[in-house]
Amino acid sequence: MESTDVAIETTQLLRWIILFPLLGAILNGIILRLKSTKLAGIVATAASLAAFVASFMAVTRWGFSLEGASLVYDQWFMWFQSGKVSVPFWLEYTPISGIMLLVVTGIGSLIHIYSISYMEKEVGGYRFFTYLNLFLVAMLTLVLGSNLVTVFLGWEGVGLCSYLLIGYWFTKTENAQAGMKAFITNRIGDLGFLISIFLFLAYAGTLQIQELNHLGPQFFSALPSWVLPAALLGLFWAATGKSAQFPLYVWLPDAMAGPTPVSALIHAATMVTSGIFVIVRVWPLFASQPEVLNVVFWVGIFTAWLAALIALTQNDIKKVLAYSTVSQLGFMFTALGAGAPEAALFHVLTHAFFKALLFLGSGSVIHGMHHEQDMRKMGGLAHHMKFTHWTFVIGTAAIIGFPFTSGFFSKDLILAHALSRGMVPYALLLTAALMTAFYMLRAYSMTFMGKPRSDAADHAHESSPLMLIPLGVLSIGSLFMGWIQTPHFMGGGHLMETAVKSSWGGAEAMKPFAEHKISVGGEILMILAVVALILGVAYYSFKVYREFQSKKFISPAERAVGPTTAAPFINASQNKFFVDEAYDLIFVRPLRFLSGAFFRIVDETGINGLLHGMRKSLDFSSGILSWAHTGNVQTYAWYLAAGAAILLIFVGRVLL
Amino acid sequence: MNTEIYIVTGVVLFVLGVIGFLSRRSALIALMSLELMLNGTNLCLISFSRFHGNSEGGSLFLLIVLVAAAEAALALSILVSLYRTSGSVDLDDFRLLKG
Repeated sequence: MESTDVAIETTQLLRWIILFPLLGAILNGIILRLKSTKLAGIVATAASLAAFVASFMAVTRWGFSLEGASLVYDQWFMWFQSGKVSVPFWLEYTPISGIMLLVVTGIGSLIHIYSISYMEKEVGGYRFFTYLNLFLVAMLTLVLGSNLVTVFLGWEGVGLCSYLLIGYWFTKTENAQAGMKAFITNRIGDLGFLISIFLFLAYAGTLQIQELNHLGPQFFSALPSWVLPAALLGLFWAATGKSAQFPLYVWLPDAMAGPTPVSALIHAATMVTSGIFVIVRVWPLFASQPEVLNVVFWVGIFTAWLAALIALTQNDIKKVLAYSTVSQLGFMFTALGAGAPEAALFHVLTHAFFKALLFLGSGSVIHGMHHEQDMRKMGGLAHHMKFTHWTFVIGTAAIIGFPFTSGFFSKDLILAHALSRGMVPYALLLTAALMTAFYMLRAYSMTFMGKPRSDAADHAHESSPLMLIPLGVLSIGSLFMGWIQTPHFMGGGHLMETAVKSSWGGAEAMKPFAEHKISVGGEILMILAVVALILGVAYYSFKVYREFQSKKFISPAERAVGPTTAAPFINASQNKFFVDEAYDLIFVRPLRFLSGAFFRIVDETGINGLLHGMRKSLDFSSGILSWAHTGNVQTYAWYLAAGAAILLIFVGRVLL
Repeated sequence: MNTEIYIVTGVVLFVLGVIGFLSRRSALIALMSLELMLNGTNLCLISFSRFHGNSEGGSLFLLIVLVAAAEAALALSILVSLYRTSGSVDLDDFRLLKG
């Protein structure tokens, strides 16, 4: 460590958090390979719970605010050393890591339990649980890594597990392709991470995150002015890939091809928030670059808006939730861009609960409907699945920001920060929040209200207790998790703020933007207005869609402006604004064309031509020579005689 | 003693054998031509031996005749079985080793 005033505490506890799931993965995937999916699930769940216990011990030991400027390291081993570059495999506890640890292992364990029941009919399900445990290993490495390379290892690891799990049912081409899409899109983002690593290594000479934080903006201001923004934008680019922001969000909706518990764990609660987490870890650097934060801010708002707009018309229940995830992630990036890492991380935490809850709830519905995901074929499920219904209500309330649920606190915090950056972003973000209320109530009403619209919906059955218990626990979290960080005038907890501020190893982060003070009365008024708006929209959506009958249903857009005016918009939204098609046109096709051209010109004509040419010339010359080999013994005798005659002539010439 | 006449006879016999081998299509005659060539060289061998005034050539000749007899018997039997399997002893009919 460069600065000597920082006290370092060493421990050996942190490695166990990673080792338990690793052990679980090895046991399940290599040693046991159990036939019974249930048993494999129990092994995996035990591993996950052990990691949770270890995480819990770590959190109780160091808490959410490290005193003064002490650093907690698990100095595990030296990973590699080459010249001036040394990359130790050290794990580090920071308060924000503590929060992430609890989320990853806690919600992870719940989802493991849920999966035991959800995957019970699966043959060879041990593969699934191996991947789940492996995902925990990677995610925990990402959370605990003390330098960018270790974090990158986890970063790639979660990407790999995501790919494996999206394509878990790989016999369907569609699923396999979704997996590849996720993997490739993430690779495009990872390039940014690598560039960032190289820049930091080249200019700062260290990759230890806390050392970078300590070097701080003063150090980088002595360097060429593009270095720090470039490195940070690289990190942000990587985050848009992993955390599904525009323009790299396209993989996340397709990732819903994976089993639903995976969608809940990886593509809603944990992995997709890692981009935000990494940015918060190096926040002192980000805070010194308002221009970079502006980019983050607007990308976040745009994504929140676009994804919400798409979610309005989707009919697949998981697709709605997927776009909602993209939208909520946009909220988090907006908070980052507004200079409020604590608000972003707070939303990460609350979102992890209610989105995992919603996904597991939808999984319960899908399970009860025998793998039907189309909401148009659902309806009236409230009677058949009472428990699932109520947990879904709680999840929906939390995500739209119903007063005093967890989403209410985190979303209002973000909205308040957006307001301090101006009216326009605030209005945009508020619209996105209103759209959230609309599409969530739409999904809720279409699924649970009205009359059953298919046989499957008519005969849907409630899921097993093993699936309902996690739903219950997550409901409690979704309801009450918000109280750990409340608005200032409520005088409640400020856990997030203290946790975030003591996570930089004693380094200070400047305020990137001028503080915008709002009076307490104004704040209360604003919150009341927002709540009223949200509830109004929610009620309208509920009212409209509870009468949903696929045949004669008129959507609100059609009601407002007439069917012909609304049709293009509905069509565009249903087709996801043709972003996939645009990418296909701009990137995929030219690439395919280029690779096709290279294939024909370089490979077929050039390399193959050379090789085939060699073969052909040999063929040709040997063809000529083989003409002499008639196979007739007398021809050979002729050659012999002729040879002898020539020899005789020569010998005669020499001798005589 | 004048050995030239014997050597010339041996060469003439050899050349006759070569011409016979190269020109006739019947395997049997080709075989006979081969024998002719062999005996032409044998005659030369004895003549040279005589020319040098020792008897090694003569004894070698006896050995060669012996082996040649065995070889001729072998060649004839191959010819017979060739005829039995393919019904022909025409050399032009056997081109299995064509490249």
